[in-house]
Amino acid sequence: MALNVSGIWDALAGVEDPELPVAITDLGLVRSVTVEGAHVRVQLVPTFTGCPALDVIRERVRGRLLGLPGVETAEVVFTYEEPWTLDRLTETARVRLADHGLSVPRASLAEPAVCPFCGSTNTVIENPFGATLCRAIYYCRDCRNPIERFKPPGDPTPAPKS
Amino acid sequence: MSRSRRLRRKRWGTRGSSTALDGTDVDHLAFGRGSQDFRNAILTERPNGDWAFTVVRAWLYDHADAARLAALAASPLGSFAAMAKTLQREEKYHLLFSDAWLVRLTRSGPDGRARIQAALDAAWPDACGIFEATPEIARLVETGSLRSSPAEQAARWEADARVRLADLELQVPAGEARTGGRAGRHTPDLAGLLDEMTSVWRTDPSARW
Repeated sequence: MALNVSGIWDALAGVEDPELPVAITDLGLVRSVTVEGAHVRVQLVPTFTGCPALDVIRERVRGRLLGLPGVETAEVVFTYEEPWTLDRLTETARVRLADHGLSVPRASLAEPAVCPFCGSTNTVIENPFGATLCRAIYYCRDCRNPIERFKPPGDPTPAPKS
Repeated sequence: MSRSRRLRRKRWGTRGSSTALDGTDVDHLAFGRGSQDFRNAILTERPNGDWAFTVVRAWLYDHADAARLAALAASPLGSFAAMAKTLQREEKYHLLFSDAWLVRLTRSGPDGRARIQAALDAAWPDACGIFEATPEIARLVETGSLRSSPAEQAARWEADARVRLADLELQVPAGEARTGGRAGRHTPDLAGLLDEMTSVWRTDPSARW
């Protein structure tokens, strides 16, 4: 049976991130899928380099690929050629992260944080380092709850002029 | 940089296998080496205990790390530079954290300012040692893989740090850089730190976790 790339993407949509209840495809972690005969190669874009979930994600993806009929070998690589940015999140990911109680910035962490409980922007950062690398801790001054915010890596640095 | 972050990076460098880049087991690389086999700058082996020192150390290190990453990001080696650019985006949060704490403690009152100044006096010569030149780095510079030397990176870091410290009316102490760490010559502090860090592993080095 010939493998097709869109079928592989569908299968990857069933792989969840170990730290968040969101599919890796909705988080924008998958950069490319290529098929050569019975060999599948998937490139992933990590949010943070030191993320302890990377090994788990790699194994989950490899397991899912090898479970597909027609796949004999699977290669899963992390790439740093392209930075992970917030615009890689799908709307589904944004809804699921919000349901999970996380505030999610639109384009950058510099925007005021919106409290996921009361919707207020009267919030203040407590610590840029939260429970995981991709979360920061804030405090809502209106409903007086500590809140967690999804934290993207800082904006990409412009390429130096050569 | 925290110790756990350094270890995670090391783990990342192995690309998920149990063999380190030098062919040994990663756990052995992390926990089984003697202090002479470590190549960290002396600044990073000083013990914790005083929060002002911890803040000043983190601040000095993070800004030095930023200067080093800028040099790595300008490397003509594509994958190397891409990695450095990724790390620069993460470094931003470390700078945010240590900048905020340095300002907070320095402006907290006379006691906070005195403690920060004392910590700076203690840590500055060690911080200058971060940019210690080694034959390995010199080779990277000679071959063009790295476009600025440790001395050039140090000069950029120091000029920037002096401006920031002057803004806070802190005095930079005189004195020579304390080096040796990047060549494996450490203070007794490292042995103490490793002793604690490896105590669980040493109870049974063959255990699988």
